Parts: sequence; C-alpha cells; structure tokens
Amino acid sequence: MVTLNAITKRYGKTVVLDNISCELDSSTYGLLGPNGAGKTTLFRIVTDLISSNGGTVMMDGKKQKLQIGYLPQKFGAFRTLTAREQLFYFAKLKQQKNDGIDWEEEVDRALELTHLTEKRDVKCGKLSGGMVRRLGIAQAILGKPDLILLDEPTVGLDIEERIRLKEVLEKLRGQQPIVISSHIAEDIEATCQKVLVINKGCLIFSGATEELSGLAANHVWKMPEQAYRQQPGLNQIGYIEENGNRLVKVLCIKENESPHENAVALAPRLEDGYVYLLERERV
Amino acid sequence: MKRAFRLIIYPRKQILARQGVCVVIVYAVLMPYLMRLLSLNDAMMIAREAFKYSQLLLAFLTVWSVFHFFLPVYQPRVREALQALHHPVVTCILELTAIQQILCIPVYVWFYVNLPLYRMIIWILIFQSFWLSLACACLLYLFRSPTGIAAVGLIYICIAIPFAESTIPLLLRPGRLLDGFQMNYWMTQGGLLIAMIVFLACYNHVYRRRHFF
Repeated sequence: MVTLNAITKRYGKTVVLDNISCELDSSTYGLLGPNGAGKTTLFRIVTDLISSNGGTVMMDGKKQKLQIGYLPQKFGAFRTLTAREQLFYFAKLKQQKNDGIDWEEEVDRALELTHLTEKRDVKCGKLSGGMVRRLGIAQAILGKPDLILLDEPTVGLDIEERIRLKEVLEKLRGQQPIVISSHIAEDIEATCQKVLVINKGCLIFSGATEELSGLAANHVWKMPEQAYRQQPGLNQIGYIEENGNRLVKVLCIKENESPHENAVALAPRLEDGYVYLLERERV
Repeated sequence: MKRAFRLIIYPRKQILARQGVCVVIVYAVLMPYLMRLLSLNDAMMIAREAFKYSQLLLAFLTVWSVFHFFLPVYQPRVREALQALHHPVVTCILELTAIQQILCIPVYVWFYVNLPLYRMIIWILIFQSFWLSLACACLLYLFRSPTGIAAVGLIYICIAIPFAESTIPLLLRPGRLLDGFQMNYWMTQGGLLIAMIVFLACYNHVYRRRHFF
C-alpha cells in the first residue's frame, strides 16, 4: 500500500497542489483532471524529480525510498539503440547489488508484456510513436517496481495502438499500484478500477469508477437536437445517434430536473460523472 | 568506475563513431571548399589566423568534446525517464551538464572577443543573406506571389537573423554556436551551397523562359 500524505506544491503564491492525500492499493488508478490541474506535478513530486512544499510518500506506513516505474508525458528513446539495448540500459541503471533479479530475463519479460518481442532488435529510431510509448511502459515495469506511474500513456496514439496499450495495462493489473494520468475519461474507464480526480490542485474525488459515473445519475439526459436549439443555456456534453436521429446529450446540475418534455434520462458513463463533478465544482 | 564508464558510453557507441566521421568530413572537405569560395586573400587570411590559433582552438575543442560526450544522455525526451531512476551516474552527468552550461557563457565571450575566427561568422552571415535572397527569388518563381514571398523573406531577414543567428542570443544559448562551430554550422553551410546550386539551376531555367519577375 502506497500512501500520499498531504502533498503540497506552491510556485510563489500559486498553489499547484493543495494537500493531496490518498491511499493506493494494488489496483489500477486513473488520475483525471483538466489541463493544468497538477497531474504531472504530482507525478514529478512522487518520483522525486521536483521537491514538494510539504507532504510525504509512504510505503506500508513507513517512510522509505520507493522503487518507481515512471513513464513521463514525453518519452523518447536513444535512436541508435535497439529496443532491447534500450531496456537493457534502463535495467543497468535500475540494477542494485544482490537484488536477485535476472535482468536479462526481466528485459525479455517486459518486451513480451508490451508486445515488443518481435521488435527487440529494431533500432528505436525506426519504431513508431505507439511502439516507443510501449517501450516507455516496458522500461517503467522493469524490475517490478513498488509503484508504476504512467503520465498520459495514450496521448498521440492511433486507435489500434490505444487498444494495444490497454491490453498491456490489463496484463499488469493487480501486481502493484498503477496510476495512469489522463484527461480522457474514456481511456480511464476502459483500463482502471479506481479514479482520482484533481481540479485546480485539489483532490476532489477518490473512489471506484462506478462511483464517479454514479454521481451523474439523474443528471444526464438525451433530447432531440431541435428541442436543444430552442433552449439556450443547456450544458451539452455530446451527441448520440439513435435510429438515424441525432440526439443531444445534456447535463443538468439539478437532480431529476428534465430539461425538456421529450428528454429521457440516460445511464451515465465515467465521462459524464467527471464532467458533472467539474461542473458542480465550478458552480 | 568501469561500470559507470560503461553506463555513459553505452548509448553513445554508434553516435560517437558517426560524429567522428562527420567531423573528419567537415574539417577535411567542406571547410577548404568553403574557403575556395571566398576570395584567395580572404581564404589565406582566415587560414593564417586559424593556423595561428589552431593550438588554442584544438585545446578548446578537446575540452568541449569531453563535455559534449555527456550530452546525449540529456536528450530532453530521454532525460526525465532517466532522471527518475536517481542513479548516481545519471545525477552526476546532470550536474556536469549544469556546470558546463554555466562555464560556456564566459568561454563564448572570451572565444569571440579574442579569436579573429569570429570573422568567419561574418562570412557565414553573408552567405546566409545571399542564400536567403536567392531562396526568396526561387519561391517567387515557384509561387508567383511577389508580395507574399517578399513579406516572408523580410520577416525572416528582419526577425529571424538578428534574433536567431546573431552572436548575442547565441551567447545566451550555450550549446548552439560551438556545436555549430564544430560541425552543424558547416553542415548548414553545405546545405546552403546546395540550395544555391538549385537556385542557379532554377535561374538558368527561368532566364531561358524570359518571364522571371
């Protein structure tokens, strides 16, 4: 169990992270938040890349140095090394005396988990963006770290690569806490069991994905596009195609308040819960 | 110690070989070729001055190369993932790079104030201006929009050159000028020469058609 205890970060008078506290068990967590909410800053503090103004990171209730597997938002590889050489280099840096790990085997395991075994001897410069991203995950999982932090792992990837990434994350599930940062709720819904939502530096939600979706129950409606256009001020959160008709998905902050006589309540998804939460905070 | 050295050299093994070949090509082939393009007197003057200061330059380049050796570990996109490992070798390299960056500024100032080789930079700027005007003419020929091309050209010449190519901002951005002095700058000049050849081909083609401008 990894515990973040009152993590605070300030730049001058601006509070970037305000008393972030949470406990992470061996689940996959989605860290959601709008751009600039403080997700990357939190990761950088946990990995000790930047110092915090307060707070601690603990492992099983003790303050100790964590082995962290970290995929930064922008991950690049040494272009002249092959995928295997690149991982071997990271393995060498992670290696500790008498750690009892067969690193050759560990590198091969990481390559296999990330579906890169076939590309092991290909130079990183020739790998696609998605493959480099998977290589980034491979370096993060090397050596079975105590905590895995993946900062926007799906950003800039096509649909096929995103599916592959989800498969990889599925395989890693349950071994150690994994935190995946994203501002795309759909990605989090597909891969995570639990969610943390950060907004303006504050942790505003921590719980199961279903709980976050459940927040928007009786707040999400679908209604005909024409009716929507006649009622300005409604909060549109998407479109739905139904029998060739285009319906508008709207969010109402007040519970059970139907926006229109033809509006029908919808079962909320994670994205709806997330938008509802942010809207509620804004109001 | 051996392990630390291996950790540094490992990601550099192919780059080092390639860089070595490039430097040899640049110094052995491109520089004399460029000098031939200048007038004989200019070339002789630069060669004389270069020879006069060559030992100093060589020492300087050696020191620089030692620092340069560490840089690839710090390619921005690789850096953060490596840094997060908190390995002593990586941390040490980071510190060295920071020191290098701090040391570079006075070294640059000294280099360009004291060595007459700065004159070569003036020649480079002359080359670039010449190439830019020729490139603008090429664009004009290709796109037939004098106003647009002239605007782009003017913006580039008025803004980009003073801000990006003059020595003052280069002093403030360590790594750029000396990098260039070693290799990239001369490679760029090679590119400019090719562009000039392309332009001349274009010009001949247009001249024959007699409807340029």
